[in-house]
Amino acid sequence: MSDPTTDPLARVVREEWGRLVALLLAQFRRLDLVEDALGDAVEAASRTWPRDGVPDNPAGWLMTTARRRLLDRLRTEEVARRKQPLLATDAERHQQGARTMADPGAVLEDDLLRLVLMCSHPALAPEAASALSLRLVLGVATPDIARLFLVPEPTMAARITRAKKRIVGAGIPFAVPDASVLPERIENVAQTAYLAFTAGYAPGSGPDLLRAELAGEAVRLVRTTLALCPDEPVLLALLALVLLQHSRRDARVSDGRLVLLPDQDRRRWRTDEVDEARRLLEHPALAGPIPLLAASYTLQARIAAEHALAPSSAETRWDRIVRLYDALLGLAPSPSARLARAVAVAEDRGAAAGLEALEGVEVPGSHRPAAVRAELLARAGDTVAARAAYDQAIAACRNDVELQHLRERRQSLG
Amino acid sequence: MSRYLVLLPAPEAEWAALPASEHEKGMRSHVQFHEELAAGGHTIVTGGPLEPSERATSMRPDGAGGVLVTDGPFTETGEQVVGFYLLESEDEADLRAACRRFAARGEHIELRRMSE
Repeated sequence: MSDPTTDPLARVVREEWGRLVALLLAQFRRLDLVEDALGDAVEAASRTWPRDGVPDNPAGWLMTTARRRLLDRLRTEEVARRKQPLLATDAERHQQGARTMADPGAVLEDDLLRLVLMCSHPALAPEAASALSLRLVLGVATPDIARLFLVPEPTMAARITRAKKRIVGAGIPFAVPDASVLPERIENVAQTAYLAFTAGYAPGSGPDLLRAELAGEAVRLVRTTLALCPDEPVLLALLALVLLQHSRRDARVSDGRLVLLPDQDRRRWRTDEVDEARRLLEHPALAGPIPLLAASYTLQARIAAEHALAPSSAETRWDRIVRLYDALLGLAPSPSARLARAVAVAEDRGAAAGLEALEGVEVPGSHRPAAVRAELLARAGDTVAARAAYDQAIAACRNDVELQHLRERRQSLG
Repeated sequence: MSRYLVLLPAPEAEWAALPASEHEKGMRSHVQFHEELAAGGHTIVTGGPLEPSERATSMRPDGAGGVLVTDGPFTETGEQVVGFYLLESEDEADLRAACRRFAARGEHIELRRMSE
């Protein structure tokens, strides 16, 4: 897809894809046909708009064209007497038909929320839910989703198709659940989006070292959902968190190599995103009481904000970061939070204190605890133990970029 | 005269799923406990069941000089305090005996004496 800032088709696809999918699903309830029909409509637009000019209502044009495709397909099926299973919707939906004319805006937003909730339904595997959300809600192309999750394109295409079949087969409804369940389902949306975001920051190799622009699509998913539920604490806190992490993307790579936080050029951080995140953290809805997940995202965002606001690496307020990690561990003890706290303790009170805080921290399947221990032992001057810890980290590391870094560090011990 | 807090922790989810007959049995056991307390000269200052822990509000320092206010119990464990009694007693041995019988009838009990 070309640049959405200059290409009107790219822009309407970027901005309206989810709403168009939602509207077509509400009308036709055919998850297996809607995406193809819309894809055909976009393809037709790419041929005719440059020739005939951009229509006055580009989204309406795509909608009409996609609807026509769908009707053609359904007529063909009718002739073949084939019955496809229909997507389940709530009964309320049918009564809303009359309302559609009177209040199209609200119904449209409601349909988009139905789509968001359907894609992140807890009956779907988390990665499948993430992929499906990016595809159906945001219109991210399948090859890009495959790159984001570091899997081959056919694998991702199959995963998305399976997820769609599962939705229809398991009777996952295209519906907004009642208020007692909605907050829980919004938490699923948040976790789905955060999974996609972190996938974009999992180091790859070669040109895919960082897929930060794709992680940006996950930010968009949070933003889109927050626009539908503007006071939802979990979404406010998550948007702040991902914006703060994402604000550093330009400084994370230099000459095709990963640049770690202390060495990043802070002038390249996106201050507008940092400012937006800080405003989000001041939102009254976060004063509480808020659910645990929202509180956890809030604390993680505050930790990220400490980094974002430090004028230089040396001026980082590690004492505050340690206290924030203490609060986070009080909410939800996790080995990775303990590991991160130990790093902060080492920066605040020295390598020996850090090693003490690291005592007993194990993250299953991760080389990171050993890598941190090696680094702290090296700083403490215990070269022999540091070398052994680097060997342990190197043996457990499965990522080329980080492996290279660990080998260099080990070598520099002499 | 000392004051005692009788905490009643229980697996909330399991309890809610039990049939009505079990709930009635629990109620009868509480009535019996009240009768034994009265007979032993112990006073119930106050007590009773608590709303489900999911309706609790927890507050703690947020690590930055403020407060973090969350939905739900302080720690997410299967067992939560579902009720309590605050008692006054001059005969701890007799009170303990009544609590033991109460527990033997199926109640989980944590007995705490208020420090002077």
